[in-house]
Amino acid sequence: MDRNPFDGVFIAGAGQTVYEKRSPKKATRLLFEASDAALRSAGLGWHEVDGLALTCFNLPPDNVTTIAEHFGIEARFLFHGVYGGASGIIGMMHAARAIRNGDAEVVLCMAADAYDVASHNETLDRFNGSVQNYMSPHGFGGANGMFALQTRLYMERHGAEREDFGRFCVALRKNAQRNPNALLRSEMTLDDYLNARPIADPLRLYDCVLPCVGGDCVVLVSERVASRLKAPLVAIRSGGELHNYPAGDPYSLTAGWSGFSGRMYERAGLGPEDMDFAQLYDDYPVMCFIQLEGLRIAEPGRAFAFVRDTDITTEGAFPINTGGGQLSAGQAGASGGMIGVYEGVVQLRGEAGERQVDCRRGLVSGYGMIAYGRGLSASAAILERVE
Amino acid sequence: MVTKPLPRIDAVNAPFFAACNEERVLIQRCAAPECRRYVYYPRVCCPVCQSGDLDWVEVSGRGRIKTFTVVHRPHHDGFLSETPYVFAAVEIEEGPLIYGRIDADPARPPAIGDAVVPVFLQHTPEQKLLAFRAEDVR
Repeated sequence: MDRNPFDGVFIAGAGQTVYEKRSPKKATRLLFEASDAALRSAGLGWHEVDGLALTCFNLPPDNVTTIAEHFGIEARFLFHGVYGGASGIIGMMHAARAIRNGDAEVVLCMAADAYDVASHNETLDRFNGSVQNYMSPHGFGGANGMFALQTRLYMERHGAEREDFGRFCVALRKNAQRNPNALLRSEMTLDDYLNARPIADPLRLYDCVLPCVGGDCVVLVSERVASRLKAPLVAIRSGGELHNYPAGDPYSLTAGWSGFSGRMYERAGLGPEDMDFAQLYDDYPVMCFIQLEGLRIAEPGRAFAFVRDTDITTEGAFPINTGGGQLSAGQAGASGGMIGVYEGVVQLRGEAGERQVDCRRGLVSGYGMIAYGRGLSASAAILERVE
Repeated sequence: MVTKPLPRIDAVNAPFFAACNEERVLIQRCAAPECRRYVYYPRVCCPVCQSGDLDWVEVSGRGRIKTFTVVHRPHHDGFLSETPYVFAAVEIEEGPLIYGRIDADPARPPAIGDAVVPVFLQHTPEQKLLAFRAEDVR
């Protein structure tokens, strides 16, 4: 068996801004606030930071290098994510490899954005050439339209129903009600979900994430730094990423997780049955079903049945998106790729307050870079509390 | 009135969009003898065998609906006056997947697997775009 490439690297802190519908704050300020909170939770100072892994869609013309200058960081390691919502976890894995190689010792892995519906659509319209030239001019409906196509095909191929996606969304809303940082905390019933206004059939309002303002950060440290910290530590037991999988087929309903999850579990010496929660990339409920299948929590094509039979709230047998996920906390652009990591770390540190679940290990997952008919990038990692 | 988004026409995709204005479906085909796959959208190389040799060939544009949606809330205000409308992924007979509008009554949407033929919609005064309609109007 391969060695765990992340041995000797620890997540020592996590920070998150409040998620807001509107704010005068710029993404740069959100990145700072989430990072500052993460460092404080670790008991570390800014002067100790020697690396940054950053993802932010509305940062250009700035980038991770100019942010290092803006924050006043002399950096030995920089990473800028170009994998959309898969970037948070990929950046964290890159940072962990750098730390393990001795290239850096304290790396902030951060993501943030400040969006509303209109600016989110503008970004997506020009996200890449295939969307800009071959989808947007046809009136594809943005991400909502693209995932309406995936959702219809999933329903047709596997026999899932609107109610199955609804149960999932309602459970996440219950989780959000215990998360003071979440944007959508009012009660939502299955009827509310089913009767919401249509967006892109079969998707209605509560299938779609609300673009918003927010940021998340976790701080990774070397064993040497970790040994002098009092904060609870979290280890990355394994992880993986896969892009453009399977090549040439936007409608395999798999994305990338099924292509690497076997090796990910094998490297950790663990299986899906050892996971106590999953923090999935929930841009749309159909993608969560596909993640549950790809990460082997559910049988292929049967995630809707898993969600019918399993309580996924924080009080349930297998909690999913314990902070409400993007579907209820909101999608702050690139932070959607980090919100699950933040939530997983907070849970494993036992700092989740009212929404705390009993856990030792859990899955975090990312997905992104929407292009010709699908997101191109998938990532995931297994996190574990250090006893 | 808000202008609808236009494709950015460049050296790679110009033949496709020029053909749309002539109401012809012109797509690429890999020139490698062992490959010969049809390619859409326009690219600089074949995404299957990575040959840099691609020919432009006219195809019928006939195909079947792989999946579709009825858009009620568009991503761009330029489409607001047209909602609701049908948008679909069409697998053409030659293999590639093409996204486009389906010229259909949104109250009687098509079904997955329906046969479609190409039509060309006047997108803006200067550009027609490839779209589809049901082969047999039921």
